[in-house]
Amino acid sequence: MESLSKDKFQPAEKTTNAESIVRPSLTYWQDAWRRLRSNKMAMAGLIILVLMTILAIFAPMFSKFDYETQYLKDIDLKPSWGHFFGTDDFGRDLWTRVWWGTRISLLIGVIAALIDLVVGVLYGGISAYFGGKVDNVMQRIVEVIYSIPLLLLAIILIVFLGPGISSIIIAYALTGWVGMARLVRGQLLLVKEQEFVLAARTLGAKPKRIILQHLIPNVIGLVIVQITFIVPTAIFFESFLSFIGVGIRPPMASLGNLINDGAHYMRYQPHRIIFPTIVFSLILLSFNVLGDGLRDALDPKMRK
Amino acid sequence: MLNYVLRRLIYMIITLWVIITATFFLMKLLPGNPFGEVAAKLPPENLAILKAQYGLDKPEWQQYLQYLGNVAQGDLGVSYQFPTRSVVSVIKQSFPASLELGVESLVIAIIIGLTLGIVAALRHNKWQDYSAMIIALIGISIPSFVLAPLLSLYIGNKWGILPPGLWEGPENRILPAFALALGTIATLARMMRASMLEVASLDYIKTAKSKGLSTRKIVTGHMLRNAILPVVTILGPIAVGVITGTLVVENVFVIPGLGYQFVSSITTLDYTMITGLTIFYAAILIVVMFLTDIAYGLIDPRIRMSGRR
Amino acid sequence: MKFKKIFSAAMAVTLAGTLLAACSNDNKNSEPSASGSTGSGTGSKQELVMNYRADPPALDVSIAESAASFTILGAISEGLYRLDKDMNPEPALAAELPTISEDGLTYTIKLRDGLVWADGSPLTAKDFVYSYQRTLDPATKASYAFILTWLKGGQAVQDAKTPEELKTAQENLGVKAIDDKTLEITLDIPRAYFTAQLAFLNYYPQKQEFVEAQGSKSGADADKVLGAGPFVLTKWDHEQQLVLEKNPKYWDAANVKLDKVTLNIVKDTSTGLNLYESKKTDYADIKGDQMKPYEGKTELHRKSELVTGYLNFQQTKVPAFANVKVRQALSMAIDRQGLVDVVLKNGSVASTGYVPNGNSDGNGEEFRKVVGDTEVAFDAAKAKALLAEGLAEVGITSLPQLSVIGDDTETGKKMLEYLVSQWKTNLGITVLAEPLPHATRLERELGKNYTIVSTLWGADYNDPMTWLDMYVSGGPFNTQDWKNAKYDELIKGAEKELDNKVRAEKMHEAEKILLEEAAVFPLFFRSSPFLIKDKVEGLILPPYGPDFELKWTSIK
Repeated sequence: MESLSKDKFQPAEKTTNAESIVRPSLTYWQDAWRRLRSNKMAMAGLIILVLMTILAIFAPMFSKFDYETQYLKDIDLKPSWGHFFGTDDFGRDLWTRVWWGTRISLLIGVIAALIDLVVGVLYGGISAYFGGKVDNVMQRIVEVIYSIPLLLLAIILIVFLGPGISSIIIAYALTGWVGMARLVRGQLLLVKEQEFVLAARTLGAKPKRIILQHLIPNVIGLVIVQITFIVPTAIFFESFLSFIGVGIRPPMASLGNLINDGAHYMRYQPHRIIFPTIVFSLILLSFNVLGDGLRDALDPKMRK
Repeated sequence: MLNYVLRRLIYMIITLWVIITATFFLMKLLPGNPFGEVAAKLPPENLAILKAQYGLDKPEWQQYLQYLGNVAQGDLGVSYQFPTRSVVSVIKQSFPASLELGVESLVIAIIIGLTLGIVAALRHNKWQDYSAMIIALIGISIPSFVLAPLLSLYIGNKWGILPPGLWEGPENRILPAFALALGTIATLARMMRASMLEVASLDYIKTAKSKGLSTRKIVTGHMLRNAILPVVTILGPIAVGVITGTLVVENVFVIPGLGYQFVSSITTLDYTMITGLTIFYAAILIVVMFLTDIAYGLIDPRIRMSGRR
Repeated sequence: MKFKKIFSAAMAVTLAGTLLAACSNDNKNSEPSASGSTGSGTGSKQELVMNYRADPPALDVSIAESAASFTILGAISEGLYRLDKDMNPEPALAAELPTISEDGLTYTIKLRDGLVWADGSPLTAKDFVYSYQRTLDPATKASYAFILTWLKGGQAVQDAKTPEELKTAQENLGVKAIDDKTLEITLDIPRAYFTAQLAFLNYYPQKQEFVEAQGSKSGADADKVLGAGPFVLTKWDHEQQLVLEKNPKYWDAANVKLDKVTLNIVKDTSTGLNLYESKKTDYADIKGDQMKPYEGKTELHRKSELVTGYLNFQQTKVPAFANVKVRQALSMAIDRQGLVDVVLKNGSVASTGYVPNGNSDGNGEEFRKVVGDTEVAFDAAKAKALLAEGLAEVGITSLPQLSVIGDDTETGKKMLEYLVSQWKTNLGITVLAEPLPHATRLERELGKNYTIVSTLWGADYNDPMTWLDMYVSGGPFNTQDWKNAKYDELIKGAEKELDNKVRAEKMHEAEKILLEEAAVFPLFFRSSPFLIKDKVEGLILPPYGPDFELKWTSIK
């Protein structure tokens, strides 16, 4: 046994950095962005949306025409270099009107989504956080509202408020926040019960820390995804109101009333319906694929 | 179980009551009165008779109680616009068409939607997946009031394959049901795909695979039943959406359904009709949601009907 | 009351769409080709399928108020006379034209022999008496009761407060069944157009036993309506379909060619056109822009209606509108020809006054032809100058915020867009467009709760008074609160005037004042396009009252 010399017990030399973190340290957001970027469909959606927004903002600014002036000599022109999308039955330039309409529709969608966000998150958050009786009462209220045929209620509201952008937004927001509230509450309840929150609480974390560090990050992804679905829903809602005849006030344009007007002329003036529908569908499509992509990207479980 | 059902029933009644109350008073807030046209030239005494006939001479709370009582007995009042028709008779007359259209379109949507979703999930990230999802997405991107007239014009008129409108034989059902189904197909396909993918990543599927079970067995025996659960939960609201959302399609294909009634009752300020139809739709919604919850419980053994959802 | 006329007229615009350009001269009587009764229907199936734009509310002679009810009731029932394709009364249930007393007040009418209701029971003069009494009974709440107040003592029935008063008034009413086959009608004042009016729904007979048995459901369903006309209603699926079949018991059944008429309720004109082009229907109402491809084809028919579209300026809400120059300026700034060419495109013509083309002047002439163009001409420069002058007279520098309300139908909205743009371009003022659901628009119009309203009026009877008595001071349809002592005097005078010539002159004068003052600003006289398959013969499209007349129709 003595024959074993001490030499043989040299400490091993560190040859590799086995403990080091090879992957760069990524925050939640960096990681999500990385994953989103690799999703081709979602990126295409994002790019189209950015493009559409830019056009909606700048195309009317740089157009020779405005959305309302009527040129009664230039009625129903087919698309040409002078009028990219042709003109309508008042001789108004459709290119300008489509992008004006996009602007209005996006505006309605975004504002509606913001209202939904604030109201829905607060309501759902309060309901889930306090739990018990408060939650019970608040949930009953949500159930009642959820059971009212929202579309019908919205129509009644618009008739009551009179047509216009603000009426549309209010009607949508009054009825739309319920979905968000339910979602937020459900997710919060789920997270609240999980071990890591329990651990944090046991370790003496203050409520503020728990909310900021644990609850919000776990809900925020879901909320963002939900917003990407609310915007197109609100845009769709506006177009539906136009169909019923209680949408935007003329001569203002929105994608909804452009499409709806165009539908009447489908037979003889196809350009009236084709262009606004393409823009409308692209926006809806893009929001949806982006939403799907975000859902995957923001899901912490998908982290590799 | 029984306890749960009873409890839900009570909630349903409360909800319905709140809706009746809200709609009733909302109507009172709406500008104008339904006698606008007649009232202008009728002598005041005759107007009083007219108001008395509709119970509008009493204080609002009395009208409200009266109305509640009537609703409890299944009487939703008489239309102002068509004084010879009661709201209930209008519903009886118009709802069957809406219901039939809704059910047909729902069946189409479920068959096509679920198939697309399953195919997309099984061929995840392959061309089948992309094309299925693009078809689905187009469905939610094209408004039905563009699609429906397009179908009527081309398939109905120009190509003469199916009737462009009216509600006569089975051939009249196809275009409207399809037009109505398109949006639902998209929702169901995406939901089904997501759900299938989620299930596919679960351990017991991996176990099944490693046991060497055939793909077919795994899919039919293990995945479908579990994947379909979340889809069932949204089926309720979807069904109601389809049935109440028939409005556009009814309009374009000239179908004598309830959706058109609703809009025309709003434009004519037909109070009793608006209130009655809203209550009717709400009742359907509530009942369907209730049934969905029960169905969910039956499919998913993990859910016990113990009270709280 | 006439009120409903606005309603139905508006419904027609909205649902059926509107008019076209081309002020063609053939717009007088535009019934489909050929004359009626001679065309024999040998060989071809005598069945007609039509699109129809609205479900009739109630098919009850007293209560009916919409064009849809007039049309269907005109097919299943009948009056003493029926208007032919030139709008001349032909004896129907009456055996001959009425014997009119010297003073023009008493009409004695012989009924045909052996008249029966569709159920086979005899039809007598008493059925007319009952019908008129019922319509006038305040409890019936008939919107068109005013047309029966032309009978002597009619107003007293309307005003009756107690059952006793009602009974006395009804007994004193100017309608008597001398015997089963002789009817005597006495008027309050002579009315030259009364014989033609006897062809209208309001003067149809009703069978007391039958009507009373139906109670409040009278006219609600196919089995709750009884007529004595060329057809019977065999099926009525609300909001879907009405089926009319030939009435074998009709006195003139030999001359009724059609065996069956199916009316499908089709509210969307695009789908309606699809149905027409795919041969699922023989008749479709279309809109201006759908008309172009049919221009010059025999299938296209235009009907010039006694309907005027116009604007009212509310003077109490906007005091500046009390100034005639301001009103003239706003009127002059609108290019009416452009409106007709760009917005309506359906054959409607730019108005040249308030009483439309084709309306009689009550003295055997056509009102418009006698009076000529009384309307201010389009002149943007002059409009601007007038506005400045007017505002200076009122003592303000600019108009308050104005909005124009109108129906929220496709055509209604387009019209608002056009008006707003014209005011902006030609006058430099910003007016808001406010499209509203029909009932709301009406409510606000009658409640005088508007600044400018775009509205419609249709003739209730073929006489200028149906247009002009609206604007007497304080009248319920004078919603703009316009007042003119001279105008009131002329209309009141004309109402009492026994000499038709003097009466017509007074009304000519009144219309001139109305338009000189721009009290109302007429925009267009409406015309509507229809597609009718060439195989259909003798279908009449009358300019007012019912939408079409089926009695003499046949299939080639």
